[in-house]
Amino acid sequence: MRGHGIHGPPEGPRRVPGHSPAKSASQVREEILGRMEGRSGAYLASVTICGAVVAWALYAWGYQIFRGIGHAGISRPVYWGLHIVNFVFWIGISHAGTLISAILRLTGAGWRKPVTRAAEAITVFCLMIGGLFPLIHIGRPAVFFWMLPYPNERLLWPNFRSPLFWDLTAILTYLTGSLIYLYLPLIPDLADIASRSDGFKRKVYRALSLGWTGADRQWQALERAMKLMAVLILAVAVSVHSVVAYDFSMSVAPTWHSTIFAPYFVVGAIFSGIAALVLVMAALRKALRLEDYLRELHFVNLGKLLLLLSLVWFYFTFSEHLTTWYGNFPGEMRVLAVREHGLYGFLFWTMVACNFAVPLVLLGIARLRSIATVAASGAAVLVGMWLERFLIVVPTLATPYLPAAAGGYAPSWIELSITAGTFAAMILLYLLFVKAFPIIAIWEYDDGIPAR
Amino acid sequence: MTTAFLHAEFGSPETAAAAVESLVSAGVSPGDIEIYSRRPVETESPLLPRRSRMSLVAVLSAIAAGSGATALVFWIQRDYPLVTGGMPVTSGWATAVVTFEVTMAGAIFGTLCMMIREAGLAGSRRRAPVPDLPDEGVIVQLPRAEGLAERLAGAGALRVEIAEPPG
Repeated sequence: MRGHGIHGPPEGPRRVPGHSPAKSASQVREEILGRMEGRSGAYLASVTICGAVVAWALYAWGYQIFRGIGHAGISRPVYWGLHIVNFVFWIGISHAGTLISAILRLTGAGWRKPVTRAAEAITVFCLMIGGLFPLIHIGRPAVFFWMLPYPNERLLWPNFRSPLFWDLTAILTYLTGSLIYLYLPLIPDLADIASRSDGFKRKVYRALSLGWTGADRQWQALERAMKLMAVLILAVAVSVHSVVAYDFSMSVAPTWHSTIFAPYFVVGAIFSGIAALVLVMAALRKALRLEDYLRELHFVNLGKLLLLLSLVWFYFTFSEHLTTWYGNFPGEMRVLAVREHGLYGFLFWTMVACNFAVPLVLLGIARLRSIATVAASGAAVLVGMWLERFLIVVPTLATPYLPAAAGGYAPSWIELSITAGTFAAMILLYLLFVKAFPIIAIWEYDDGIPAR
Repeated sequence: MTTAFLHAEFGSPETAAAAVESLVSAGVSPGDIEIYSRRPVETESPLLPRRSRMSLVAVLSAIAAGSGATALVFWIQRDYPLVTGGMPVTSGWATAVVTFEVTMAGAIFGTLCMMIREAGLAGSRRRAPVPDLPDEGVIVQLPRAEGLAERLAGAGALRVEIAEPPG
């Protein structure tokens, strides 16, 4: 609602020209809160299946801890396997949320309303999942605290010059910031839910809403905080994936020691993040019957963004490969050969098809652009980006500078189980989230929603 | 001495804004007025402008956290010299990422703390009663004084009630 200030000229309520609201703000509130209630058979079945897969993954992790990291598929010379592939993949997807939400919030894009919370939740869940992989990968998670700089009796400190320590600070900052960024705009909705609930549920939501009353000073403070947080989180988001790229580019390994790795990783992260977002939005739209909120416009807009990033990703990939090929450095050429035409050739060309050809056709041709094609492109890009992470990690380690040290890699059942478990965990966390919190920010619908 | 409050419900933010304007022109201090709504009342300029130190505190927290982290890292590196890859024992380049991340963490926590403080959340003591919010309307709250209830009714309030302060 846009009224007028004390000293400003009177102005009527903001309305979309030529449209009358199809639903009032109260109707929107009732509908979105209504979506949190009830547990269908399909919902319970999904929770059970995902829970079972996660439990199996936890068993696999427990087995790895008990029997030793040697039971994972990693061994000389491929010391980084699926655990690190998944780490980079999930941290990359985490850029969906906060980055997209922050950009849309800062630019005042009106169509962001039904998108932002779904996106912010993706960030938090992906960081929780991705952040686990260094713990899984070190094999002995109980000694993880050695990474923390605390005064200890052995006078040991972490090596601050290690990119792995940079990872720790970057991911912790990003996770904390993203949690706060998700939580702050949830507060008014939590207070709203508390006012409609009773008993224990009311107590929990009231405590979570921190005593929100809807006072003007609170709205002003929230708006200021969200603007500041959006700026801060943007900077942190870019830094996080740059730091993940530094894990690779700071090492003298063939094709890793590259100056464009940080921006290349950031672009890939945003690319995979948007792909995950459109896929999640399509699933939410179907499962929670949010057709009136998540409209074709949202998918088409995100689809165009996905197409743009597909082109940028292709540009970076081309530049990276062309420079390596033209340099003709034997160590790097061996990696290039095995990646493009050798053992990993099929995966490489599948990656190019998924990340470039599919979005180019489905999203580049305007009349093909629809919710289904945007979601299909999103799914293809996710497959492609996972393969890209695999192709960055494994071929380089399997083909080191010293030809005699070359080796192979086959993931073990432990790594495959944990990989499956993380995808199930992502779905499970989302399933639980949509029943505990409104997936769309109710208070942002101050004008209701216009008719189509 | 406890003061009673007036709660005036308006059907739209526009009428509430006009009422606030009329109250301020009648000499009521903007600091005494509060507006309650389920959704933010968006106006060209804030209806009741309030000073905020959120940005300042965010910057100061960022500086404090960033310099604290940098100092800690440099002190530790001198305390326990660890030569890595031929780098000097203390190096600005290699410390930059840690400094940046902790600086940002400082700004984030500063913002969060100021948001909670300025919004009066998390256990702040209230001096005014909290009205029940209508679905669509807006509640204007101010300390009770002679003639104000009539002025609010004249400004288009759907109803005006007297509310006792908490406690």
